[in-house]
Amino acid sequence: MKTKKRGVVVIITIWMMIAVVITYALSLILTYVILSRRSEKSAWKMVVSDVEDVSNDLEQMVEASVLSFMEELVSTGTVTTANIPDPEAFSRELQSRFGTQWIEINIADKRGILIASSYPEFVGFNYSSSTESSGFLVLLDGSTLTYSQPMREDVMDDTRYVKYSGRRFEDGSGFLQVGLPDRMYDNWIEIQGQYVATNRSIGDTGYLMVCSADHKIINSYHNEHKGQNIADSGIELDPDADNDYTCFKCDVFGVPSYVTVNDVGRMHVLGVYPEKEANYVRDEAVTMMVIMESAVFGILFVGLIVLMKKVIVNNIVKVNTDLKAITGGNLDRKVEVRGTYEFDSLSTDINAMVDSLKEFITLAAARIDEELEVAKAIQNSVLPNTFPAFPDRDEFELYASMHAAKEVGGDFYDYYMIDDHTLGFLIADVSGKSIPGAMFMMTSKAVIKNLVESGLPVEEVFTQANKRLCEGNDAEMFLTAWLGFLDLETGLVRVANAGHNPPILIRDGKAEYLVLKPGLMLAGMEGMEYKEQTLQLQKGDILYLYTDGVTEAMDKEENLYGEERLKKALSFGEDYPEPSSDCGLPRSICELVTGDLVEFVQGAEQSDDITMLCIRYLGSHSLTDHHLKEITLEAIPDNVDRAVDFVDEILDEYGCGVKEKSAIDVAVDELFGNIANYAYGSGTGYATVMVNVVKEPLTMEITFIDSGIPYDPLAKEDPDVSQSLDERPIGGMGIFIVKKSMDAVVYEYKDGRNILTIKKKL
Amino acid sequence: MNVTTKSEGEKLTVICEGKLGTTSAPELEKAVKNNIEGISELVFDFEKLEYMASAGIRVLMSAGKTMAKQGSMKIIKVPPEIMEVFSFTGMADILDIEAL
Repeated sequence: MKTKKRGVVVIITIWMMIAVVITYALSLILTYVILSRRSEKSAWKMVVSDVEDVSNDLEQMVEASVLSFMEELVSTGTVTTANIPDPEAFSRELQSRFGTQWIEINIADKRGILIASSYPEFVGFNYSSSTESSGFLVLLDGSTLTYSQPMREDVMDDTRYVKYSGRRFEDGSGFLQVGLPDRMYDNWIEIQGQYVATNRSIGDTGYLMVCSADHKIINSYHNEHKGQNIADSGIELDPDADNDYTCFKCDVFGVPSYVTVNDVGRMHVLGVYPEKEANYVRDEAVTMMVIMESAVFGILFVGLIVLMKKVIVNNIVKVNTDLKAITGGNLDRKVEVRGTYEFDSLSTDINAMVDSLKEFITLAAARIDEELEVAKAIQNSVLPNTFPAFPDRDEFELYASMHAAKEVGGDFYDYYMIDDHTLGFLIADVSGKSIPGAMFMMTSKAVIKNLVESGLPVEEVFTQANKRLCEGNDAEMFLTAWLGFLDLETGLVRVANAGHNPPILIRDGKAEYLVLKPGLMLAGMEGMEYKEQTLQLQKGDILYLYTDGVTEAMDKEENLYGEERLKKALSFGEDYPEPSSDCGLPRSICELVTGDLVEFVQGAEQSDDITMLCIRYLGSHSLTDHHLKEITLEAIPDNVDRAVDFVDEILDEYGCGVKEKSAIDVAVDELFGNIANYAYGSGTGYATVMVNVVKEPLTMEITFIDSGIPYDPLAKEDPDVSQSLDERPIGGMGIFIVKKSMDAVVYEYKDGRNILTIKKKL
Repeated sequence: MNVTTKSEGEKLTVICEGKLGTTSAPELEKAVKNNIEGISELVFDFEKLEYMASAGIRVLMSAGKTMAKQGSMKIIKVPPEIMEVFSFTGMADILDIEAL
């Protein structure tokens, strides 16, 4: 798992971190914004409500004073509709009492018509004629006792303000209305205002202030502010504006605060609420949230990572460890990570996959085995393996065997009767093994067989085979081979050797390596010319050919079987008694070597193909009529011995008995002698001796041909063998002896030639 | 053909080896003629003779005739295959022959 790539945990951690940070920031911002708005809202609410309280208190206090004054007038009956004092005098009286410049007094009857006033010009005014004044008509409903209106501009003098209040007369005959001037009102408020704010606070640190019309602070929670101009505090008041709970934020004495201003009369009531306190809850909540969220997210985060590592990463590592073992070749390893549903399913799937893979591999291996078996069967079928190979031939015995190392080998052998008296035999070792080796082997075998059967000389077979095998030899395979053409009549072997191991010749129970010039291997180099070499076999000689699978067979300690041991095995010495020849000596020899190899390797695996071919030459004594040999000599007595020797050689070849040989020798001597002495008279000529060997029963047919004087020796009478020595003529015995000792003697004169044939069974 | 002659007083032994035929018969004839003078006992040793043709028989007959006048002649150690030739030519009856 050593890789530069990031792990699952790291990737998830990073993405989780990003998600958490975004969520965290969003929630904080949202909380901050919401709480800020709520704080502001509640701050304003608090300030406004406190300012309102103070304003109302002030107004109510003033109003109450007016109303109690009117109550006094009405309840005592000082003023009624029936008893109307002189309003002007009454006004002056009241002015002096309240210390004001003027005071307006009006009396209305029960119809809402003004009947008396400190301003006589108002008498006759119908209250229902104006919006403001019609409000007072409520006092005529029979139940409402008092009624007040907020201060408004005086209709008579727009430089002054007036506050109207009304009181119903007890008898329902009308109502009294008093208009108080603003100055008086202000005075009252100023008096009240000096006390109203002193003991009031907004929250813990907020406070109230009252300022006069000239912006002087007349009352404040903080005594030190008294007497100062409101502008000094930082609050800018517009002298022209009517402040009706005007809200704004500004620094008040350096402290950022919510400020609400309300005008009561010409007074200003101010509520100041420091932002710090207003935002206390918000700040506290946000702080708490930061702490809480950090804790919660942190715990969640660490927990998740630990869990992830435990549940995912550790399991993945386990699965990987198992997979590594599986890819390493152990298909029996099972993945058993069963902790979670997903890993359980993964384990099951992997195991199923490996199982089916295993099955496929087994099937594939079986198929390859099957294919190799087929190839082996094909290879074995192309190697001739029926023995005896030529049951109707008794000039030789032949046996061959091939044991492939792997299912299919690169070795092969072959043998063929090229004509009636020539046996071709081949042993070869292809450089490749298995199927390619076998294919090359089959090609090589077919090519060589083809060339041999086309009747080419042995060296030409290899020269041509090399040419053909070099063509298109892309696999660059080659083969060593040893090809022999054995003349069954003469025992002469014509050999072509393409770099093959020297065969062993066993003669009289003694084994020797037969070292011939090695040519280059076949398919090795284009344009290679091979040379014929010869080897003379004698009757009884055994030729043993093999591939290096024999000499290079190894035991478990990697010791080679070796050429020495092979030679010893074939020497039929004490250690290796000559095998029985019941089923042919060559077969026994091959089996002997195979057995010795098995003993030598002691169970070690066979590393190379083991192939051998063995021929025992028995000599030609069973030839057909065509197996003629002849010699033509000058017909002179000195050549009689040469004629005899010529025939003797053939007789020896067929293992002729002493008696028969002697008789035949005599016959040849007599007949050739006759031709030499008489056929050509005093002249000279030639005589031909033809020897024909007939089998079943083995018979020698010897024909003497001369073109001399026609003469039938058989026409002459036989001599009288009962005559005494004295009586018998010297000579005339030769033809008689021949007739006596041969099985048949035939004379013929044909085409100007004397043809005399003798036959003798051997 | 190899002919060896051994003289012990009046006894002459002729040892024949190899092939006694047309080519070699004159050689044997010469050897006998050259040594037969004053010989009363002529012995032919045929132990190592491979074959004998009519030319050989002629030499033996000629020698036999001569020896009939001056003594005796004997052919010894004759191999069976040569003995056969002596038999069917009737020589076995007229010459003193000992088989091997």
